[in-house]
Amino acid sequence: MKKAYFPILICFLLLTLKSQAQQDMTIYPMQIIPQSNYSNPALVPTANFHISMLPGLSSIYVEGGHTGFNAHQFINITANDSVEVNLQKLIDQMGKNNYINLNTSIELISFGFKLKEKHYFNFALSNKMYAHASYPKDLINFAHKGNGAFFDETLQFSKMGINAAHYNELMLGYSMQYDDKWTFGAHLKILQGLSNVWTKRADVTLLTQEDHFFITATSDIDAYASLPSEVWEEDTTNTSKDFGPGQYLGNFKNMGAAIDLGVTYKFDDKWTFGASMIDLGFFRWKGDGNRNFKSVDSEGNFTFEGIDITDFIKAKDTTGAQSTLENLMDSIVDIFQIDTLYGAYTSPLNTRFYLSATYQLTPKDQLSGLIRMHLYNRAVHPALTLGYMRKFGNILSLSGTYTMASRKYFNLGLGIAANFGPVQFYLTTDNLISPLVHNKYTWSENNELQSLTVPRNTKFMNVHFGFNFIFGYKATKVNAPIL
Amino acid sequence: MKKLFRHIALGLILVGIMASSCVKDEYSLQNMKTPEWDPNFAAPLINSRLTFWDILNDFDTTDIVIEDETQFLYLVYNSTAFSQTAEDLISIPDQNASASHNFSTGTIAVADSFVTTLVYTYNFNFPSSQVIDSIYLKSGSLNLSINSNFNLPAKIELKLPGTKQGQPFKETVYMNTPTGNQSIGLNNTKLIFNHSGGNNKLEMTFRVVLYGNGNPNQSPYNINISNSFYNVKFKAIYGYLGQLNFAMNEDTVKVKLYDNHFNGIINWQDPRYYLTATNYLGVPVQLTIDLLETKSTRPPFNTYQIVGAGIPNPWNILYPSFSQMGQGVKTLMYLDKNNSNIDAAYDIAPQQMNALISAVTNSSGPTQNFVFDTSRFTLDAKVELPLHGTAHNFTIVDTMDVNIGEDFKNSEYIDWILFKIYAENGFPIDAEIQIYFLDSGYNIVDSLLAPPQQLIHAATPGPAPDYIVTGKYKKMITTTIYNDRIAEYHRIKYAVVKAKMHTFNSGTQIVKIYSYYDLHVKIGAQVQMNFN
Repeated sequence: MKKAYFPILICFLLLTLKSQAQQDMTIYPMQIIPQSNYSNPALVPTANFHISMLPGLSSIYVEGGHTGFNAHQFINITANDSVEVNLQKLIDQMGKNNYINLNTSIELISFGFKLKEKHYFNFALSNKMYAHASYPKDLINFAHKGNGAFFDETLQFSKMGINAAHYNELMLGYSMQYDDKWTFGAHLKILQGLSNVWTKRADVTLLTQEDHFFITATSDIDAYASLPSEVWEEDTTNTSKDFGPGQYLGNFKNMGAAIDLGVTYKFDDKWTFGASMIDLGFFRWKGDGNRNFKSVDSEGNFTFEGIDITDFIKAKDTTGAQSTLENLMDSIVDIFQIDTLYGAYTSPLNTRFYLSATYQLTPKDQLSGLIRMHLYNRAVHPALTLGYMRKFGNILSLSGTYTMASRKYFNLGLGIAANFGPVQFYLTTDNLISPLVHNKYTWSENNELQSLTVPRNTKFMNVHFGFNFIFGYKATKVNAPIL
Repeated sequence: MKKLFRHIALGLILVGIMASSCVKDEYSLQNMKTPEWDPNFAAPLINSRLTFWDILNDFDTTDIVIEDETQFLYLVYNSTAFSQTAEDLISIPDQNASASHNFSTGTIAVADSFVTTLVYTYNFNFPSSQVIDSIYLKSGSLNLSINSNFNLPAKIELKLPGTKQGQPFKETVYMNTPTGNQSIGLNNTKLIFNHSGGNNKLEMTFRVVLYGNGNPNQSPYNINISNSFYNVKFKAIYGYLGQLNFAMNEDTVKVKLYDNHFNGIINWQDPRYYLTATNYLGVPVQLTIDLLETKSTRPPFNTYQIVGAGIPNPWNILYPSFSQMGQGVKTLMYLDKNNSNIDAAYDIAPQQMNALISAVTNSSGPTQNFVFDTSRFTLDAKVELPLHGTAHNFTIVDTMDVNIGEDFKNSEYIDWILFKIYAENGFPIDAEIQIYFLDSGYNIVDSLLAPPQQLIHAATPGPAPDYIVTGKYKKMITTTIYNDRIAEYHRIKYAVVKAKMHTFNSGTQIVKIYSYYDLHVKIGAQVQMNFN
């Protein structure tokens, strides 16, 4: 680990202990938690006023996941008690494209208040990070089976790449209850970009023809990165460059903006529908540490048809033969040649769309359904959550959810919001059970038994918790008439 | 309220239990099986359009493939049988002679002198009855060794017929003692010989001058002058150079096409042999072709003497006249099937064509000759084989060091290797090709095509006289080598390529080969690995 990266890593790790880069699904219908508004600006929290000003405790969101496979799916015990790593099973579990995701969000401060019942204003300052790395199944298939298993079939190593950003977000929100049925809301976000890696395009294909085994490869790569210039210098000079978190966090050259829009429609006393679009925005990376790695010939392709031995015959000596091979290598390298460009660039935020429906069974019981479409790495990533929430007076709200996400179709979630006077503690997760069931792997190293315990059957896990000070959340008591 | 807290407590307990992270299965990786990994890789290896030049692949500046204006090809093998300059052929031996003179003087007063002259005719010795009129020297020396009984200082002036550095030849030797040695350089010296009373005579005139210095007269005086022409090199010689015999070695033209010949024949329709003499010597030369033959140096050993009207014996070589001084004059001898039996001589698949030739100058008697030191006489031989004829079972075998054994040390990871070999043949020639892999003891380890398959089929030739092919013949074969064979490949040290060829229709059809014919070969390999 290079020293220069260490402060950033520490920052990232600290940030993962708090904040909210992306929302969990379970929190969406729990309007008792003010942060539910972040998934739909039209969702007005129950409390008239809230404030969260305990950095590291206000709101912490952490999410990690891998959509491809998990260890349980390809490590088995055979009949003779030996452990078998079944690579074919591993591949079978993969999708066409697979993602490794990490999201964190730390809320530093937030507050919100209602005005004249119809208006709601809120503010939040958060530190966020997201990282989505993707790899295609074809790449693993190729490594496992070789190109000889895929004659006349174009192996698509496309949608490879990393889409990651670390930034601070200042959010100003406003919601208005238009009438008894419609409520509209919006968030305006000012973004301070800190670092970014964005693979706009990384399409590589490989085709092996069966008749003569000719191999055709194409490559089209366009990737961007904005990192502290000290990191590049360190990479170039191979010398350690020291720079502190203050220098890193105080960089205001890479600004951006985003908008969230939301609406809810109260169909009747039972049904309420909602729709929102979150994080429609961009960063403009203008810092000194910008790089663009781009294919010199984005349309380039190269077909290797074998070596022309006449070149060797004519060459007559090893120098000539070497020159022939070098020319061949140059041709291949030219196809995959990457130019490094410098300058500002714009990268998008990963926009999310939500559609929701809630059904109020009783004043205390609510059913909900939520669909989320998350756009990143040039693909749409859907999730569906069905939930049931029960309020236990003004003190406790409990929610149970069922979620389909990350190509895993059985995830049970839990949401708790407990109000102790003005102090609210909340905890939500979309996947409660799977991460708790583990497999243990042991091996011997230097005559010492080592072990690693990993979730058995989990493709993602998230947790969102924090403390708020909330006021005016209790339902007005209606005194029974004294007869 | 109590109920509520009971629910909370139960919930927390439940979460707590779950949060204790239940470990469902435990795996000991000590007992882990190697994962099944059996990738299959395929890649093209060779993709080449081989012309006749590429296939032959052994020509250099002395044997080439040439094409005429119709792109019809000829194999040409060259050899220089003889090439020497006049300086190599003619050498001037060192010459030695001495002249003596006795004379008396009166008393020579101080500041007075006495002069006497000695004329001496030097018999220059040239080999081979040469009669030289003049010679231009580029180096050499005339060494004088003088012995006398002089008690007076003396001066000796030497004059020769000819020039030195463009001036009349005159050298002076001063003597303060009775004896002395002097070496006179002969570069840029012209000597003129006379032939009165014999050949090659050089008249040397010594003028001896004695100076009085007060010493008594000791007459009679005598002087002896030994002179030698030493290490003389000529620039030009004019005159009659005599009958020189050239020591020509046996000329051999190597026909490399047959170097790796193993069996079968090619019936050449029109083989040709050229012998070209290039003469810069102003001297008539006569050659005698003592023997002309083709020779097979591989079993079955054989020779075939070429005879016919096309071989002149003796063969008089033209030479430049005085007006052609400095120019080379060529004389050509050409043999083909019309003036010799050379076509039959090539049926023995010869690796060599040999000529035994002797030469003599001025065979008809004295003539006026000239040579320069750089004048050269060259005899070049050329075998020309137009690629026109038939071939039957013409088999070539070549052994190569391949030493690929090291590459197959880990062959247990290879299940099989499949080769796809594609040939698109534009030549009117069938070829059965096999590659044998041998160990260090030349024992066969394996062969590439098992069982043998004919890959290359002849394209169909068109009608005479051009016989241009009307299309290409395409064929693909596959051959798979399995692990049991591959396991032996670590022993491989050599590969023997054996190719048996026939012209179209089993060697019965006359064909011609043109430069635009090619053989398109594509070879691809597929390897099934197995790391289980």
